Amino acid sequence: MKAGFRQSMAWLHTWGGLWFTWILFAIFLTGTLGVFDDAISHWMRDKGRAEAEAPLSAEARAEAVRTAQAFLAGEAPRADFWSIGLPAEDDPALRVSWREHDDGPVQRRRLDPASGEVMPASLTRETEGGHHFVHMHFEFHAGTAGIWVVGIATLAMLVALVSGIVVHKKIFTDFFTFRPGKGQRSWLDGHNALGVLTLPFLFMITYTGLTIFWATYMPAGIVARYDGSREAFFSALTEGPAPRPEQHVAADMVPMAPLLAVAEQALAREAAFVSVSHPGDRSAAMRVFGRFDPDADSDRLVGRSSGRVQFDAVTGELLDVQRPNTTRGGQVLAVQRTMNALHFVRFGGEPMKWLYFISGMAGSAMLATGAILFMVKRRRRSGDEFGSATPRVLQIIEALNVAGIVGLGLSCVAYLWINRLLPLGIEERAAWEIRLFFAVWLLTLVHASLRPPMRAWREQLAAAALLCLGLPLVNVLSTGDHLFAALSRGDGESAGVELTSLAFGIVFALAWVRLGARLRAGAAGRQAPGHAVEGL
Amino acid sequence: MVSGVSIMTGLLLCHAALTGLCLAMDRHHTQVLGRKPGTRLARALRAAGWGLLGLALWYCGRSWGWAIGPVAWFGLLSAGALILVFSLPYAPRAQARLALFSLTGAVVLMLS
Repeated sequence: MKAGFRQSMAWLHTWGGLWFTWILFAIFLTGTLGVFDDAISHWMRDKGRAEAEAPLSAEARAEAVRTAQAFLAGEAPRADFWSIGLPAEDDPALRVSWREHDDGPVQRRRLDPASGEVMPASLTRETEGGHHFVHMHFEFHAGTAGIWVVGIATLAMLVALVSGIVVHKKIFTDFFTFRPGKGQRSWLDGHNALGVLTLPFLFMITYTGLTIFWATYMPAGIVARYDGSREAFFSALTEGPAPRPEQHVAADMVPMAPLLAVAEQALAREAAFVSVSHPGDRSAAMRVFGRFDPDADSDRLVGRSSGRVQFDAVTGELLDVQRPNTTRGGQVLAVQRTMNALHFVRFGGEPMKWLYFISGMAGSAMLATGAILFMVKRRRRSGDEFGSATPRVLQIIEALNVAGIVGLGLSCVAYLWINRLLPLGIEERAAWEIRLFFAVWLLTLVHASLRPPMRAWREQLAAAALLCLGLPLVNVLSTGDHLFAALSRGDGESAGVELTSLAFGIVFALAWVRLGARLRAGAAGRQAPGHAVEGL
Repeated sequence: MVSGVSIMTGLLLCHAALTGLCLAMDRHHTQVLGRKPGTRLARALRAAGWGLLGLALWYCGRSWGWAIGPVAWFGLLSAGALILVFSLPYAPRAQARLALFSLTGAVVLMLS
């Protein structure tokens, strides 16, 4: 009976793992890159050489809000929302955005805070930056549908983790075991070691990933008791201000600049961001968000926040204050927020981010080795698991492996190249960067399905290695900035992106060299068919 | 804010601890030192390994506070284990010296 249980778990692990492995690898790889989304954005926006802006005085912040309100009232006097990003140390522009209707497109402009004029697009390297990876990670740029896909894959990951532990016969005996150069055995050792050694991280990151979207995945209570209104539910849960549905009655708004000073005093912190829901309507509400302070309370895990203040934007009445680093909504919500903090590494600073990065890369490698192991086993002895279609199905799986693993890595670094090569000032530049990223990824799939498997692996490894190793070069040629300049001005974010890219370039190049050596050894020993391929 | 020194110290402690546990096993002791450990040596290595793991946990708790310390400890354990496991087959003979280096480094950093 026991063997039966383990066998059924092995079946579950193999097939459940296989069909989700590419999507899980994409979630893991982009999530791991997303740990450093700020550093990647910093590199992509070419911020390294920009002089740090002097912090704005309280008067200048109020003036910026006045400028933004005048601009937005001219563009969209009645809208679904307005948002105002105040000039910051790394970005001197006043960033405004708005949406006329809740299903319309979001409009974004960058204003000169002094003159209130729209800044010409050609001056800025407009990009989503590292947020692209974060959006890939939790929704594949597909909104709520994407969140559900990721959620289902996350459940599959938990199933694979548990079934993997059951299947692994000798966790403790083989705890430190890795035997390279032994074909299938090495892939299994690698898969096991990567999984077992980072198991606490894998469980934590997978489970907390699932609980972030609990209100989306488990909507029944909110539907039954609050007519599906999340706003009403959270306002009751956190004892916050009542929700303010649109009333479709025009009303003049108060000047927001004086309220900013009230909010900053209530928060005891500078404001960074202002949003208005339903501007121009009787229900208009203004929210002021504090500036994120990475050093304040960085030793705590629970309830780190920048604080926010809400006003009635028609009367100017102060409705609600949540001070920075406080929690509301009771212990259940505090637990959930703690899990969010664990997932987002909102604590511990840079060293902790590196630990997450290493563990995340190990998790990605665990998924990749699992997918490759599936094929290594079947290249040797393919059997007929899919009847007469077996060779065709295995071919498809192999192509998905190539494009899903090395092809995705290639596309991620290609995204950084696209950022440098795409002309400044074109329409929808940020969106084009992402479209081209997907185009490159699709190309890797086309390439993988047209080429013989081993050639596809080698060619994409070579391409990925060249793109990674060439990244510092393309940066010099496009912006004139380079690694040594970044290092000498102490710009760890810019230098970090390029050094990490170089490290990955070396890994891809080594894989390319080893695969080539294996293939040549295989060609030399044709008498023993399958021997070399088995060793891949 | 936790400095780079703390993270280095934690990593060195975890690496030394895990190498101790690793060398307590017949297979790996032979791999690294060319012979099986005696029962007493194996027991001593295991005790040293667990002791250092405990020390690392205490050190992480003290450096990061007890909310974040255990999270850091798990992360450093994974990082230390990955270094050990994926360097072991390529440089088996160096592992005992590496562990001593880690241990010395950790002690020096903790005392300085």
